[in-house]
Amino acid sequence: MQSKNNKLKVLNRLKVLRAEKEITQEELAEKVGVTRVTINCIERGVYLPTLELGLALARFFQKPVEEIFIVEEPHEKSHVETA
Amino acid sequence: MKKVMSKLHKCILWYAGLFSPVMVFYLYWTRNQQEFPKAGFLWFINQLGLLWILCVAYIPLALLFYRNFRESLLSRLAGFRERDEREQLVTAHASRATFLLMLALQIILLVFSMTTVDLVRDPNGHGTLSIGVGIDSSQHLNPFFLKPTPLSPSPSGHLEIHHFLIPPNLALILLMLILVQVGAFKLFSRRRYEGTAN
Repeated sequence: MQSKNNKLKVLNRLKVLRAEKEITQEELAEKVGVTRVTINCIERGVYLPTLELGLALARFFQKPVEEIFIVEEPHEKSHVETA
Repeated sequence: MKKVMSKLHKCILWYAGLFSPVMVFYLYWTRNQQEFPKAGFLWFINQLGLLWILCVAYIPLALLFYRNFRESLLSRLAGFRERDEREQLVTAHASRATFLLMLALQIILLVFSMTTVDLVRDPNGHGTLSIGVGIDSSQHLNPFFLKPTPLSPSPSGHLEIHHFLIPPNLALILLMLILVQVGAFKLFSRRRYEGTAN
């Protein structure tokens, strides 16, 4: 479990994939059964989708979830050993 | 049958909403009258008012048993429908924040409504005015038989004024609570709806 200060950041390639497919946010939202605002919030990183929606997006783009959502590892604080 | 029920439901809501201002004026107009009007225009409004009370009483029942009405009311009050998972999350956050706000507000009101203020003026002591603050829950145990603020000159000539900071049965407080609840829910949900709050 991650502490609040050591929180994982989840990035996503939704905008790129959507552009590749040449579909609008509205069309994608309709395909995966959510609202356009939700897709917009996911793209901006404001909202993290549930596993169900993540899988639905992966199925729609025919890509593994890890290719759509990328976990950015937190920068670990370097512990300097003092003598 | 379902269509008829739906039309009836709409009519009741329409009547309850549109007749409300008339009722407010009626209550204001007749505030000093001791008896119900027996004939004329005010009598007619009074009869319509009885029907209005029934219609208003129907609204909480409809909220309990009529799912579509519940959803449409929520969408009107909050400005959105729970169409997907994110909007359900928004509702959850707004409900949580509203719950905490209302709880805090109600505790404050409860404490204030039990707080009494006593003003005592002593004409023998050069008109000395003393102020006392205390706690009294007697009116909370008897909320439907409240008496007006007592104003009691004592035999010694002391004038004593005793009253609650907030009367426990004040209708305006209830109205304020309703408005704050609706307003707070709308505010909290709108802030999250467009992703402006984390």
